[in-house]
Amino acid sequence: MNIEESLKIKLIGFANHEAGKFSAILDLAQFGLRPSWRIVDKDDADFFLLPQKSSTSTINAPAGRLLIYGIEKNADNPNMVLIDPDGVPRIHSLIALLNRLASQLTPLESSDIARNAAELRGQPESAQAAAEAVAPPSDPIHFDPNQGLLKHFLELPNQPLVILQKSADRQLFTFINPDKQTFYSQASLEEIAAYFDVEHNILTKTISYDELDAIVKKSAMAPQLLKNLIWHCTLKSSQGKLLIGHSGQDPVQLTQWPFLGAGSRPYIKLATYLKNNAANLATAAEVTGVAINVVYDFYNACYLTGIIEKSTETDLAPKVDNTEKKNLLGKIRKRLEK
Amino acid sequence: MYRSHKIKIVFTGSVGAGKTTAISCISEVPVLSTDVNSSEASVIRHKNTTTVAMDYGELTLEDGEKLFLYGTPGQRRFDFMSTFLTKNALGLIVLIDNTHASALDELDYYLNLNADFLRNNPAIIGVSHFDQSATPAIDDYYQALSERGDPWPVIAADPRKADDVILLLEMLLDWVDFAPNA
Repeated sequence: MNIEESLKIKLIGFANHEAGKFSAILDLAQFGLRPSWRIVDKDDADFFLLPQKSSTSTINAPAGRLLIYGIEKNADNPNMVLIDPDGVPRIHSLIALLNRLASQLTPLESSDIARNAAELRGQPESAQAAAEAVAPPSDPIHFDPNQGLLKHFLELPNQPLVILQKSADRQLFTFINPDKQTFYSQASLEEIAAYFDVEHNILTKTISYDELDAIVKKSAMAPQLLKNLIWHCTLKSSQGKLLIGHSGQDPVQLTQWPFLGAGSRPYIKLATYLKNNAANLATAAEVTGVAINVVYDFYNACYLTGIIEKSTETDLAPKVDNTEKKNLLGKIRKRLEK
Repeated sequence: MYRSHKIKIVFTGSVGAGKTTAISCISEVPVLSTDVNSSEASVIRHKNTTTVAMDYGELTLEDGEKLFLYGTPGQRRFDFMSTFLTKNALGLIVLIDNTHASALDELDYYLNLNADFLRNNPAIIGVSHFDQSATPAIDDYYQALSERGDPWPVIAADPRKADDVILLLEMLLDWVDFAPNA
């Protein structure tokens, strides 16, 4: 069999609504499938899928090519596509099963991911591989957000987006609702943050709002604010470089408080300073004592989430010089650090 | 200026929000507090007792100076204590229980109660029990503050965790440091 072609599966004895559900889930599962699979009507399919209640006696195919579609696992046939009580195939077990079957037919190829992505996005394979492969930043001094995962968050299509991040040992799905500016994931922000660098293959596909609703309902994932994901992604991706086209000498001021949480001490100091003062980033670094590369990460995240703006002039909060107070605050800070 | 008064930070907020817990978490000395049986329905939901007068804890700075941590009473009938407790304080930590039926109304209430103090002093809003209820969201608190014209930062904080309580205090110090004082 030619490993460069999709594997073919034929549905036998499926009602229209059952076939529709399987087709929809197979479509979504393409991200994790190596190689891709497609449904065919012809008998030259590689595999045949039957509902659990069907008889296999009339199917002229080796037993290893017969897959069963049902709710309960069958000890006699390990090749089961498990479905939930609503008849919707479980996407993760489907991916695992189909990939296992594919590996038994053909060896895995490292370029399969790029081939699948090319098929999904309709782009030449070489162009897709170049776009999604590991790519060092072109500018060693400035941060370009138009790369990697961040690019997808910032350039959303009009339809919901599914993003798959693949690494050697893991794959992570993120679903984005561009209308509500929310995202869904079974991983926490911290877990997703671990996948922000460009070394992970990233595959994307648009789906309909109905499909997104079905996935969300089935998985019971709660919506989270997309801006918080962009915030985390930018902090992780910036690596201490200032946003391309921006200057650290222009005065800026926060218009809103950023996403603050435990572990963000330097960002809290910067946020407090830039909420109350219009100052350039070099001044912010000097006054707060936060390293300039951390200031740049913070600024980039604020800018890309739309909560910081350039000011026409430097405007520092009026302060009465009070050495005694400064000393007191220093002593309290020292005590709290213990 | 600070030497003629006690150096203090005040914790206030709704009953069950975690004021006593927060102070206990970081105080060097056992927190002194007076508990009575809860009489308000809002308290009974969480606790059998509540603070009647105030909580008191302390931290020792270098040179032996003390930073005093005060917690205001939770029940409404003791609200008059807030004025005395906040006098000359560095700032206010407002703890709001996010499982409260009307958490944003509670925020409103405590900011109004301390309006005079907050005209010239800072507040940090700590939202507790966020693990039990994620709504209102932090953005909802900012929306409510924006409608009031208040600039205070909001952060989810677990009063049982020393790191979270210290973060609230450090945020307060940052505000004293970087905000206008003239």
